[in-house]
Amino acid sequence: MTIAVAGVTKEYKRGDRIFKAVDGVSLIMESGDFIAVIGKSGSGKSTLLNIIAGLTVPTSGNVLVDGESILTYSDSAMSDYRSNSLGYIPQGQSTLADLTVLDNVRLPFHLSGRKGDSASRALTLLEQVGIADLKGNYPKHLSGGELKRVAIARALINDPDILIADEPTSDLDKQTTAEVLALLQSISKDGKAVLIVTHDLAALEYTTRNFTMVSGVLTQQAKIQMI
Amino acid sequence: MSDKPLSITRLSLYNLRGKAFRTGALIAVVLVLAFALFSGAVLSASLQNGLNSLKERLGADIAVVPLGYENSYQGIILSGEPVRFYFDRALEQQISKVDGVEQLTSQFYLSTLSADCCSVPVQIIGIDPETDFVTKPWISEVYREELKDRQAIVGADIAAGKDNKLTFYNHEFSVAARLEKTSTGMDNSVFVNIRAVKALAESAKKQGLGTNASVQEADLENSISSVLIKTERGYDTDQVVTNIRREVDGISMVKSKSIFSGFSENLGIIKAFIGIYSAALWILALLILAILFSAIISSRKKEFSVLRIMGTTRVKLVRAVLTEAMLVSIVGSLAGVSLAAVVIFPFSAYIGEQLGLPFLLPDIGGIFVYMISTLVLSSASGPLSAIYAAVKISRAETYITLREGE
Repeated sequence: MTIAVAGVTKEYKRGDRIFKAVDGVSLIMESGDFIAVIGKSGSGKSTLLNIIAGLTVPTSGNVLVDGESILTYSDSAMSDYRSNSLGYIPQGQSTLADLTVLDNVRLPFHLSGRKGDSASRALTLLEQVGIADLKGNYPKHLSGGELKRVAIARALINDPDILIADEPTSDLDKQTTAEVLALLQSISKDGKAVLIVTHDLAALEYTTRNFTMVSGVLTQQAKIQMI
Repeated sequence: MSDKPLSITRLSLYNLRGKAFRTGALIAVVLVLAFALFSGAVLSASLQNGLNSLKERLGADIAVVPLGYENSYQGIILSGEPVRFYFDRALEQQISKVDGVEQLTSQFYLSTLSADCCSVPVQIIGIDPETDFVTKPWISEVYREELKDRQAIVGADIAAGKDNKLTFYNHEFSVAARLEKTSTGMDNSVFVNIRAVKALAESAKKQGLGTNASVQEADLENSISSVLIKTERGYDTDQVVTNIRREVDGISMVKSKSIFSGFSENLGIIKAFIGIYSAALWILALLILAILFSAIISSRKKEFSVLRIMGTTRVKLVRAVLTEAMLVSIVGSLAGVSLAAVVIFPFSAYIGEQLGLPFLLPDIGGIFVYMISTLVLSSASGPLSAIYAAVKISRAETYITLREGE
């Protein structure tokens, strides 16, 4: 699967002024890519991620999935795209408090209308992210790193082609950050396209391509010295 | 390891179970609504039934009683208060000739006031089977034959012995049939043949058993307690009353419509109050629930955003919210209706007594209809009040709600 972001701009009105959160961004992602977009808070990187996920609509430009514009999708088609083609790991805690770890992971499987043994697949993914022993626990009993792993497993339950993560290592200690990034790297090596936005330079050790984002403008970097 | 499909309903159940206090508060609102709607409807219907029953049982348009005994007569009809009053039977003949009188029958009242003479203190009403047009229609619902001298038809609240017999002034009567509950004085009355009750009164008089001056002094053979009149078609009741008053002295008259017109008026006010109160409460409950659901949904923005991210369609999201609202409403409705039933049904007699109005519960079919209507109305209140907030959250841009929810 190829995702092409073509000249995407997202504008917001701030009082009388127009503010460009994303400014003419173009980017192509393919299977096996592990891309990091690094930038300060408010640089527009999360907005870009959400445009790719179809969670917000760009003011101009296009997002093409295998040549098809997601902007033309109906709500049902967009839900199908998010459910089956895309795994999204939101910023912060995103698990559902009233479901066990296992149920959190297998929820997208059922929301997509799939039939079959979701529990076995969810358990395999929990083993893959190293927290299978927590399957019966509720999110309130988990650490930040464990919650992030639940979110990763959940994003993978429907075997999507693309995984995107918004600040996947925020609030994590150095050790856990390294573990989560290594996990995302192994996922990309398995053939999925992984896109993360972060301000953690540690991510650069794991990615295949890196971009910086400043005031909504995306620039590819060979090597990032300092943000 | 559970592999039950995580349907929208199951997800809603987990959510409700996980937020016990919030769920309890929502259920409590619906419970109060269902309680008020069901109890209001049953109360209103019971009062209407009581009035209908009273109208049905009155049968006659005018009751002629001895001078000054109109309240006593009303006491028999409304509360079954035991009374005894008599006047000359010859008056029946006089009244029958009055212009506007189509049909008439006489009754003879004897009461048993003390337990030493009789098995239960009751009002005994002697009816004349040959002329009776008042009690026959409803007695015939339970007993079609002519009452024999030692037979009695008893009101719903009269307790007969194990052998189905009642003893009045040392005379034994077998219970031929029991009338249905009417919530009027008839429930505490015993109907016997007028010959039998006169013989009973005569015997009691001779034995000096628990009889008062009115019995002691009366020429029982030639006495009656009341003359019940059906007016001729085309005649106004007031006009017939005036005609009787002109022809007959020493009597009082009670118009049936005057007995229940007061009740009708009171009932109208009570029913209107119950109706307005129920409607106001329903609207209030809808508003409270709408505010609660709006606040709850607003506090769960991130959760709903995550559901959207996972591929939940707008329609499914609305369904999830409405399912939760519906589940809460169903539980609240069932609890409210059950609580109302527990309060109203065992205490219906007490409620009727306190209201001072005839109070007759609807039959099972009627109660079932009120129950279903209440369940439908109160169960709909949750989804109805949640729909605006549900649609609003489903239409919001997920990225915005995700950020707002953080």
